[in-house]
Amino acid sequence: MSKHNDKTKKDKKDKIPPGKALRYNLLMLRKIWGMSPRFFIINLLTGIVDGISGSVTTVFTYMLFNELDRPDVTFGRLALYLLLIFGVNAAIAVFYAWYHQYYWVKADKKLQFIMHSELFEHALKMDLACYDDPKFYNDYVWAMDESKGRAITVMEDTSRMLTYLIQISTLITLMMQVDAAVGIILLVGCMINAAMWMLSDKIYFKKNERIKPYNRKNSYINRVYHLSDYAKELRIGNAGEKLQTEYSESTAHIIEENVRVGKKMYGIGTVTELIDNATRFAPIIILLFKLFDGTAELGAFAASINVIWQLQWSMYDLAQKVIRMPDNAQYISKYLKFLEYKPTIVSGELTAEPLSAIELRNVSFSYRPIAPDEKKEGEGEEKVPKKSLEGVNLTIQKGEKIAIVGYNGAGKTTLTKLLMRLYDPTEGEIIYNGRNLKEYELSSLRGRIGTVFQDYKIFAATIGENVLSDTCADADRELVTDALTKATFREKLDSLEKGIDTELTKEFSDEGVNLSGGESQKVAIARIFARPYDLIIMDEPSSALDPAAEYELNHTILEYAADKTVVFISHRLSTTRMADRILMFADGCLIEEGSHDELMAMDGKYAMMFRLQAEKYRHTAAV
Amino acid sequence: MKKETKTEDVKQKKTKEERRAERKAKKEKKKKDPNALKTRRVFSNIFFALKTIHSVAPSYLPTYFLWSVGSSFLNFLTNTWLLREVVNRYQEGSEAAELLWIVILIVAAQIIWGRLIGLLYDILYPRYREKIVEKVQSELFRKAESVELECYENPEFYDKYVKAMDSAYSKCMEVVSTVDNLIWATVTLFSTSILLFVIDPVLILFGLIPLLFGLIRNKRNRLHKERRDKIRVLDRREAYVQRTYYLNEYAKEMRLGGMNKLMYEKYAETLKEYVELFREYGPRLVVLQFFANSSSNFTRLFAMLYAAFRTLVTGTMLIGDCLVVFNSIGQVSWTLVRMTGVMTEFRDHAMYIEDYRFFLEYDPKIKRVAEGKKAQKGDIEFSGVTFTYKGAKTPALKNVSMKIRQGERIALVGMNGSGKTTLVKLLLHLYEPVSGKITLNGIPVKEYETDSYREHFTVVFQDFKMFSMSVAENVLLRPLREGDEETVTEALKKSGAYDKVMSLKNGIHTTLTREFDDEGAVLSVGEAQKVSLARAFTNDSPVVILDEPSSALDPIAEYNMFKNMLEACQDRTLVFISHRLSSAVLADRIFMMEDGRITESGSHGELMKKNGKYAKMFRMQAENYAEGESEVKNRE
Repeated sequence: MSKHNDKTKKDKKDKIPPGKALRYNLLMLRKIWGMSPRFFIINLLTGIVDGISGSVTTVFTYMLFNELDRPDVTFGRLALYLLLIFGVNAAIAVFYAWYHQYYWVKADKKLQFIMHSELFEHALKMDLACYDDPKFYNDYVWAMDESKGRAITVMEDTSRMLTYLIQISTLITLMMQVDAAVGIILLVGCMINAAMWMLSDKIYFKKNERIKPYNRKNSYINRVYHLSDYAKELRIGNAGEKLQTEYSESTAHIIEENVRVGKKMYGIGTVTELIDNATRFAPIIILLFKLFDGTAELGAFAASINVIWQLQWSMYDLAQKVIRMPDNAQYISKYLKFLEYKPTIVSGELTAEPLSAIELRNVSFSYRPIAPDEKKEGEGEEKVPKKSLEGVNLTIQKGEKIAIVGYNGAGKTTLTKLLMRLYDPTEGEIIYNGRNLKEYELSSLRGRIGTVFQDYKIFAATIGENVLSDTCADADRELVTDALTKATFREKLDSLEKGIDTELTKEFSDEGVNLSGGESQKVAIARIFARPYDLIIMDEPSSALDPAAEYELNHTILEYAADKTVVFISHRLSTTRMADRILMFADGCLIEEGSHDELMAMDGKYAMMFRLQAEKYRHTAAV
Repeated sequence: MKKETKTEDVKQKKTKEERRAERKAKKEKKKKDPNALKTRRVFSNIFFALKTIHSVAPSYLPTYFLWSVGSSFLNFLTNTWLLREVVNRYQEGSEAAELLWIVILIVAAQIIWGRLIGLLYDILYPRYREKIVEKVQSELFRKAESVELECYENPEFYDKYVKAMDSAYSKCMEVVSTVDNLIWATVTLFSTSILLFVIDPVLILFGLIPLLFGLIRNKRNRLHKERRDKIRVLDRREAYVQRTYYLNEYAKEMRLGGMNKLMYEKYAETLKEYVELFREYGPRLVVLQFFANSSSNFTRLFAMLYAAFRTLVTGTMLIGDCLVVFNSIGQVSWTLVRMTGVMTEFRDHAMYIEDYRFFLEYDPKIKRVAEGKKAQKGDIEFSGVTFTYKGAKTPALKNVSMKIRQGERIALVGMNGSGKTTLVKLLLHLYEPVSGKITLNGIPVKEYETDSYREHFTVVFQDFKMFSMSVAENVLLRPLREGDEETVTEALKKSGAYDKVMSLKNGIHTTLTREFDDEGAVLSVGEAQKVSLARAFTNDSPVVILDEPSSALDPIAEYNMFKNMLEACQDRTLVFISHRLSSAVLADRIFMMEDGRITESGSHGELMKKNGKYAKMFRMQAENYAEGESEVKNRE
């Protein structure tokens, strides 16, 4: 229970106060104005037109009703009114048909495109370290996901609010003219009700926060059931029983919360109901008496029944939009925070020349969460992050073949990420051709390095594009085929009808091809052959390959890369034997270094590991 | 049911031309959309949804619908009837006080009714809604577990399943709200129409004007749907590009090469296609939308002109009645438009519910055998087993025959895609062979009781998954029972995950992944593999199957794991798949698979002597180690 309270307290802090909410909404509007002034203006105009047209029809109807009751009324004059109302409505209908069916859909997409382009550019500059910080990352993914709709929502809400304000003020003015008391009752009643709605909204908001963990649980369970990844395990074990019990339990919690809040809401609902009816019927009764007294016209009475109805709805809608402002603001604040984020990995100015030597001086590194302003709040219990690399010194000369070995989590992959400057070292420095890595222009530096990651990705593009990481021009075709041949993909390539123009994955095209793990890995490996890289980094390049393919591939890589610098990570020590130098890592430290023979002679950790693996081959190879 | 037939009646009144056009449209629809449902099926699906809800919360639907009847009638009383009463009595010269009573009665009715609804909405329904969700989802869960694995690989089936999962509940609820709309519209329409009919029957004709626009609305809806379908394709692309930019898994590659430019270009192209699409459909949709939306405007114009004419020129209508006409004719035509929309809405919901029903009513090919033979220790035999994945051109297994004797250690080796994992899946009866049969103790696998048969095996898959449950539950893959703690601890020790698990906050009770618990532990791939391997040590199931058990383990961990595994499996049958042939050496018998066939089998020694593919592969791998050792020896 105490945990509950903690949660609500924390969430309260998250809810943005009205003043700030308004400011954020305005900031967003300014941003939209900056991106597309036309979109901004047309949207606001639409809101105004809507407000005015709604009021005009009401006023005309009111006049029409009054006209009907006049002694000197003629059919001609009445018909004129009717035609006027019809005309206004038709004109509005034309405008709306154009606006909704044509203009808006187009403008909406264009605006999204501008927004996304900006976000994308930022995303690319963002430090990779941001992805390791779950809090930052969650906010970020959320902002990205929401960016699709929220900017538009802010814009639309603003224009709708204008509409309602115009409608409410004309309607109230109209009623004031009919009878001052009626106008005041309506105004006050509607305002009290709006306040009540906001109160209920607050209660619902709090409730939703309370049931959030349960909803999260349920949506996770839903996901487990619909992802094919889990299907096998659900069948062979009995995890389903546990999951379904969890599901029922959290549903029970949600129901409990709903029921609790429901009772409260019933009380509030009763008050709202009374005010609502008073606001609606008090004016009717007043006007009724005035009608019978002869102080009000029949038309006014008839029109006001509709006006009151319309007014209540406009007020309700307006309140809904106002209620949504803090919600929008929360998104906007995260969106802006993301845009304001200053990457720590900034490009230098030097153009990277071909590699002659790269040196690590006393390099240490730890993965740290980097949510910039969250940190200031100082949550106190922040653990000192474990160092992934500690005091690493080493030099890699041009043309060397380096193998990095070590247990899981020894810091091998981290080291390669530092070389590519995806991260900067926490301590120490990395020297490329005698200058600090940070002084180089990022794209020229990364252009020198070809990488195959352990968790490489195949993109939804053609094979050629995937290999080149760029559009595949005619001049490049040979290069691509050549690279794929070197990566031992040739056989599969020849079996594909469209060759290197084959679209991969089904994301863009239903005719796209899904490659198997081993095949995709080969395509990823072909990337390093397609460009004249100086330094080639391979993180477990052959993990998805079978022994024969691995063997073949290792040979071609080394053959092709004779004059290149190669750094590779592998669990299979048989592969690492091909290296000039082997770096053995343990717990982030470089513990042994040397050629295979040297390390074997040293009889240290590497030798032990190697023997363990070799043992089984040795005593049976003789058979 | 009555209401639906009424909508049908209204439809019958449509002109011949319209019906012809509708038929034509339907035909076109059929051509384009073979999934379009027959009207009978639409209603059957609607009833199915209502029945589902009714079975969980029997008082939900009756109260809900009663609520809409009452509310719409009250609404009619205040908005239309009251006005007429007032105007008529005013003209008759009644007293205001008389009317005051009527107003007060209406107010009282409003408040009482409002509070009754409040009772439903605030007190009763909060209990129901979640219960309905639970019922719908858990039915889907149970079904999902019983459907054979093959279904997940069939994109069409999978698509339907995902759609059902995502929208079953919301669509059922949408059915309720559409029915609610229908009730509301019907009540309003009838009460207002009766009032108008009493005033002047001709007025009803004006109310029917919107129906003339039905053709236009149909056309608009069709165009809309067409455009939406095309947009959906583009949306998918847009979403994909977005993902590449913001998901962690793409982040490294997007930074290094020119991939980001390529993706951006694709996005820009997609935008162009969007704009083209809007240009293509825009003008037509604008015109259609205008006319479709103007129907009630026309009704109002003509009906009001008519009423005004009768009142002012011929003098045959009372001013009060004229006012009522002015006031309510719009409502009649508007409600009619809504009613015609109801059918489209039903059709739409029915499509989704069809997926839901399809899934629930799907008859699994591999049936769960609740009462059958209990699995006993024994030999496993494949005889002439052939299996083809759905949609694949070539079989994944071709005429495989093999025998695994009780207590044997079997290694399956071979190239990627040679059928090793498929063989295991068939053995587990996750798939049914296309031809041939698999037997345990001479009895076909499908005759065994499903639970007992699955308990016969312990499996660790190559692409094992961690559930968001405690470590212990992940090891056991079932809820924790008494006395399990010790078993789990023991098993974790043997698989080498113990130290890591004990370093976690709550030991073996620590929740894995952050899905449920913000403080959940996230294990590395290697650690997770060790946890899932522990499963094999928790029980003494007669058969243990390991699919690439050591792919994410470093050499030392691999060594220890194998040592423990062999110890634990002393009298159990062990089947393992491995790329590292060094471990195949440990097997009693090795099956070498190639292209869906078993090409060699025998012990390591036999196969080496045979000097076939296996021997070649083994030497290739051993080469480096052997040389290395000899060199070292030389030096020594």
